[in-house]
Amino acid sequence: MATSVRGPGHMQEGLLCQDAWLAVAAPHASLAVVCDGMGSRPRSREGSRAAALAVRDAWRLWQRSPVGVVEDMIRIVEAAWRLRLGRVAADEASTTCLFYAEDGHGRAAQAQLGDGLIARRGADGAVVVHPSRSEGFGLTHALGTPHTLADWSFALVEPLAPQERLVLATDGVSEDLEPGRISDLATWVADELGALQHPARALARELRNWPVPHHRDDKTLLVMWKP
Amino acid sequence: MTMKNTNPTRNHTKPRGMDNVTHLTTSTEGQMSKLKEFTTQAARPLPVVVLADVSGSMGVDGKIQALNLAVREMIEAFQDESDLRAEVHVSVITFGGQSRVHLPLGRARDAAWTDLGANGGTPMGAAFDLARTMVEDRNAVPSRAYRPTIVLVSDGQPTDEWKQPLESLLKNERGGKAFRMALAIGADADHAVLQAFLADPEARVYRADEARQIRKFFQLVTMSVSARSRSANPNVAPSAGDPNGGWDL
Repeated sequence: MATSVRGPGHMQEGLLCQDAWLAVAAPHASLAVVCDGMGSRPRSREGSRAAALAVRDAWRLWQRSPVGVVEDMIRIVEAAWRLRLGRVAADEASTTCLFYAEDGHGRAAQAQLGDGLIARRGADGAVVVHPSRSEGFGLTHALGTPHTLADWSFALVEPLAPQERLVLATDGVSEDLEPGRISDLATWVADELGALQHPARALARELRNWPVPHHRDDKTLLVMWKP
Repeated sequence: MTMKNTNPTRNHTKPRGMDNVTHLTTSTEGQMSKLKEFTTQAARPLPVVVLADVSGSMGVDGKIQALNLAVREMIEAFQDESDLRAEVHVSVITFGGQSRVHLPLGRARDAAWTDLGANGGTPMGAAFDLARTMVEDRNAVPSRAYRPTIVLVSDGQPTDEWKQPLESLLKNERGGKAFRMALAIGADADHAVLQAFLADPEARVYRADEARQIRKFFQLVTMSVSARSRSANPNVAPSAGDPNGGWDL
């Protein structure tokens, strides 16, 4: 379950949401991506959407090898993103990129470039937050800005187990979350909102009514789980 | 796998539990969003740290009086602003005889200002150290804070070792990302030191030859911070060129 909503800052300026997300929920190999286009770049909306699709491109290739390394998948993401941008200059379309990908061979990868959140709530309720290399103060690594593979934070992990919850969020959400409440947030989205007739619509309504004073950013929240 | 998807690709599967729909309570229905339980209720802070020269020479020509008035007005302006999108936090570090935190970093709306006196030498290096320690402190400046603004005001030359402390401040992972503004008061101010603090050949050291210009400078600081606070992204300078819109004192 996932949604992106435009933040008050972009509403005020008449700009569209610059976040993007993509998810493929398949029995043996799932994918979850969230991307946050940098507000200071004029084509970042295209950048974030291209990044989500580039991760899907890379994931499809990555699935072909039972021993493929995460670094290769990231390299394909970088190249596919530039190709998907076409004539759009990469530095005008800068975007963060966070993803979780299962390869269908019993392995999964988590990778993050820039700020935002990847977290997993285990069946026992314990939360593990994927380590980010965020620079703080809104300065972030991103596709389309100078960076190297070392600026990505990535790892091979176990695929999601039943009762586990995967949370991906852009910084519009993650910066305002209480770290100790991520587990409860994941449970609420999956169990309460997920039981509604229009869960994504309900989630969007909640994000639009974000309760933190003076919030500005676009917000994307994705929660994935296996029943 | 349960997933609702409306973005670049669509892979819909029917959500579980559709037969057992519960009623969602949202703020749109006049009730408190459950998200409130999972989020902090503090607005993201936008720190402003003033490094104020209160050495003995500031005690002449009405300079210290003008500085007190200017900083007080700046704090009051932040307190009065109702449409700021960030929570402005203010601190004042003084250097005169010794360097110390005169006003600890905290919400401008809670700040209680007491006037400064002027006395002693100009230990600017020690003030740089205090500023670095302050922005490094994640309790004082949390990671969700917007980029701080550090303002340096001086009418003289440092009387302590300042190069290493300044280098440490500028090379600091957090201190180096701060917006910086500088004011040289009078003819004896060391412009080279103030320019080194800005660490940007394009950036300008403002100059105040009269006490009233100190006040104008702080009005400029207030406007700059307020403009950032109202922008879509307060981490970005107000304009790509001169962040102060080409103002003069």
